[in-house]
Amino acid sequence: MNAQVNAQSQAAGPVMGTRQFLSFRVGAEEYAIDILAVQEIRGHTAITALPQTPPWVRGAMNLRGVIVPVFDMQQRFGGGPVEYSRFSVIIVVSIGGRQVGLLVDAVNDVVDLAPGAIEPPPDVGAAGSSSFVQGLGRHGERLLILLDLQQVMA
Amino acid sequence: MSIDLSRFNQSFFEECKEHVRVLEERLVELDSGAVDADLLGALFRAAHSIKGSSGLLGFDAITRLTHAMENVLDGLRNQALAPSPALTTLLLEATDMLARLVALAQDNEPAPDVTPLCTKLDVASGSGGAHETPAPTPAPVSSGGPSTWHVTFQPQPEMFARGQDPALVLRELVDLGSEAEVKALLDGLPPLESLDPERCFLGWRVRLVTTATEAALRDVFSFVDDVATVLLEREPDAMPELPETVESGAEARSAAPEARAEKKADATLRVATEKVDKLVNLVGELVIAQAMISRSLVDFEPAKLHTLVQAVGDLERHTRELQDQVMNIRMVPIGTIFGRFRRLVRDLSGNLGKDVRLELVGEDTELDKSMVEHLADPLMHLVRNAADHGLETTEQRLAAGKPAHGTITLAARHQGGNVVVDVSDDGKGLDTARILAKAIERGLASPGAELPPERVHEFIFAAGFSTAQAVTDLSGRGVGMDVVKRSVDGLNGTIAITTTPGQGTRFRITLPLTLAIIDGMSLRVGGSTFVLPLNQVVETLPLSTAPVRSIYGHGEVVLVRGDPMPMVRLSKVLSVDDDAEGAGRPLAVVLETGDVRFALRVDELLGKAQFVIKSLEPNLPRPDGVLGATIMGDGTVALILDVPGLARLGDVRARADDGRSPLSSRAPQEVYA
Amino acid sequence: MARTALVVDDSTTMQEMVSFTLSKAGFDVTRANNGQEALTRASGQKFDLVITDLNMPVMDGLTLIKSLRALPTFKFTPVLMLTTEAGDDRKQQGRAAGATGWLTKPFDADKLIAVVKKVLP
Repeated sequence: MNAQVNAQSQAAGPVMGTRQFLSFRVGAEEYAIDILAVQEIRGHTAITALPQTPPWVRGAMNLRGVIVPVFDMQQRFGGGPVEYSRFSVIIVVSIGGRQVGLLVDAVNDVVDLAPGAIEPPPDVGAAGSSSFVQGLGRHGERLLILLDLQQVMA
Repeated sequence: MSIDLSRFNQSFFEECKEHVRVLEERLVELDSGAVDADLLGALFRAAHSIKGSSGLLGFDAITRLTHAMENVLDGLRNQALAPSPALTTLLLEATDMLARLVALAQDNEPAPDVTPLCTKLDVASGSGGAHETPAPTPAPVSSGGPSTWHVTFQPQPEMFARGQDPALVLRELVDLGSEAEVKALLDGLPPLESLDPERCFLGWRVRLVTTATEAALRDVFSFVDDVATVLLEREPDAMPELPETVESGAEARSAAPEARAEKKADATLRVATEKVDKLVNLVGELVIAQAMISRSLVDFEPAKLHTLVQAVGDLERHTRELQDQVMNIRMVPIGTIFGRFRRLVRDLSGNLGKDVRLELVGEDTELDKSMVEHLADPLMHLVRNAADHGLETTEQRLAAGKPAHGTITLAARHQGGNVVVDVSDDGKGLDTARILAKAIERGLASPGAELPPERVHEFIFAAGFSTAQAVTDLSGRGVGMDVVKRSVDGLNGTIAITTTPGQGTRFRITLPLTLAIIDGMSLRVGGSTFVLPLNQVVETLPLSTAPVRSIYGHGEVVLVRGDPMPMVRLSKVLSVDDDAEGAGRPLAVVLETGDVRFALRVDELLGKAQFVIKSLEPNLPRPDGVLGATIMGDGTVALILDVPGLARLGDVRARADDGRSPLSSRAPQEVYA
Repeated sequence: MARTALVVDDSTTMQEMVSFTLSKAGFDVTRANNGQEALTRASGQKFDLVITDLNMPVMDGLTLIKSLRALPTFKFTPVLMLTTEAGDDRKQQGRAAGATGWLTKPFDADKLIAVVKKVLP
């Protein structure tokens, strides 16, 4: 899977405080995470189930010799399990020395968001997912849910 | 050329630590009465070496202190001084200060004043502050206007045997001047037939115009002045002689180097060169084997298959050897930490007023370097504990008919795939009743509970547990024991207690040989692959020969040759799916850890191999029952099972002392004969 | 072709410092931890220069120097000893054993090279 660069945002030129995000789809929603946390994107990889872990931990995968847990992002947000097929994508993120794989339906693109395009998270009483949300990003017609990875990985 | 000497600091600090260790370990031998030249030489050299290098790198406090220590040790070495406990204590004190100075220097912090300690040492050695004459200040080179000198240089015939080349001497002399005339003196030259080429028969006379001082000229011959005749004559000058200005050539030693030495000396390893040589050879073989494979693949045809198979076999063999050798590099003898116990016991003896002797067995037993470091503290706790609580006072011992001195033994050996370390004492043993009482008091056991003695003894590992009447300074408030257990657990090991009232106690720590690689048995349960550490596998049996029974209140048992043994299902403890009942040919794998033996139900055995243990941390907290993970040949992740953890999860209890499991009716010797 | 040197000292720091200095000066340096190791090396290879400490375990410097001089290939090789003592006895002992010259500790790189130049072209 290749990350496509959004041509429009590039042409606009950098604005102070602009951050880059990787956007991806889980179910019907589009999410985004800080590109700096993204280590790599893997396609379908064998996952070994891990006992005594929360349901969203699908298992562990072998990332060049390092054992990395894989989080089912749909289950993380209280939904059902992601259908794991050969089209599935795992985004490997690295924060504070910890690596985790995020199992998603598809990766979209890299977007630039200026501070003005980001709104604080709404007070939606969605089942447990609000603490993961750092904010909402507007990109053209799209509404991206910006994730706080620290919370996701906790 | 100027070289920044601080690049050698790291090496220096490590060397110091080694020498300090030698001092710490061996100074106590001075008290033993078996003082020989070997010991004194080693002690002297330790201090002497540090002094030499520290002087080189400019660590003055260390130089001063080691110099003072060296004087005392030299005095002992040439028998001008006699060993005494007071002297040993002083030297140990100096060694402690030395260790401190090294640590401070490594952190780039200033050193405290070592004068009081040096003075004490000087008083002991009788050198009263006199230190060796400092290196002679370099001779001032020039003195005013040029003079003409006549230098006669007549080497003795044996000069060559010194490795001296007179030509170099002459050249050095001539370089000092602005004009020179050299004339060879041939009088001593024998006829050609009798000319021995290995002896020098020539001499020289040099007329030299130079501004150099006489001292500088003499200096040219400093190495050869005992195997040559040197005459320096100065032609009188037209001008009156100017007094030679003596320049002070004191070289200011630069301040402590700026580069911060690495704080963690643990990050390096001292390896015997032969181990490295072996590795180099093996890598060479590996390269050859791989090349052979590559070559076989060129123009490959089925007829050549056997060559390829053989080449792959070679490759596998060499890889395995290489792996063994590499792991071996990390192995260090446990003696490296044993040594410090002598010092500990000496101090304990003094402080407790008991005569405690220490015996060390198996110091050559090797284990992984990282484990050795982590083992030191738990062992210290156990030794302290044995001395403090295990051993009785001298009066008590004599009254009991025991020798006045108590003995603590530290013994290490290899057994199977493990390292076994025993800390034993010949003291009064554990008071089971009192431990039980304390346990009940703390709510760890219910009153009236019938517990086998080993279970009772294990309570001492509970946090905050201490049955000492008076909490002594040394052992603290039973803080030691739970930390000991945790440390041992952290090393994937086990600790077991054996005690006999009135005779003594033994703590046995069993550790895996290495943390990183295990011999394992891979198996399948349902759709998942797992690995069991082979050293904990006793045997495997098909369930067709060993029926399974369900016992109310005790879970399932499998009848091993008629004898019931607790059986654990991964489906229950780890929520893994089994194969459907009745499908395939399931087996029971009998596992043993410490005193616990049980069977694990598996669907299929896959094979035996070596597996590299990959930690799940820090990415994921380690689940109970799982030791870690490994990567199988096909790249997938498999979990390595933690046998003690499985036992805990499956609620399997330890066997009673007579070898019977709570459910078995016969002793295991009878069963497995 | 680079000149070869054999550096003998039981102190790793000293070994490193001397070897480093000599390498920078164009020598191919071989190291040994004591006299015995040095002799083993010496019996297999000829060196242009030997620098040795005196106080070492297994075999000390003086014994090493005497043994080296008994080897035909080392009869005329420049041998320098490293000594902490500036006193004359040590120097005499060294020379009597066959040492070409000496270096007193502590010394620096420049001093080392200067002394090497004294005994080796």
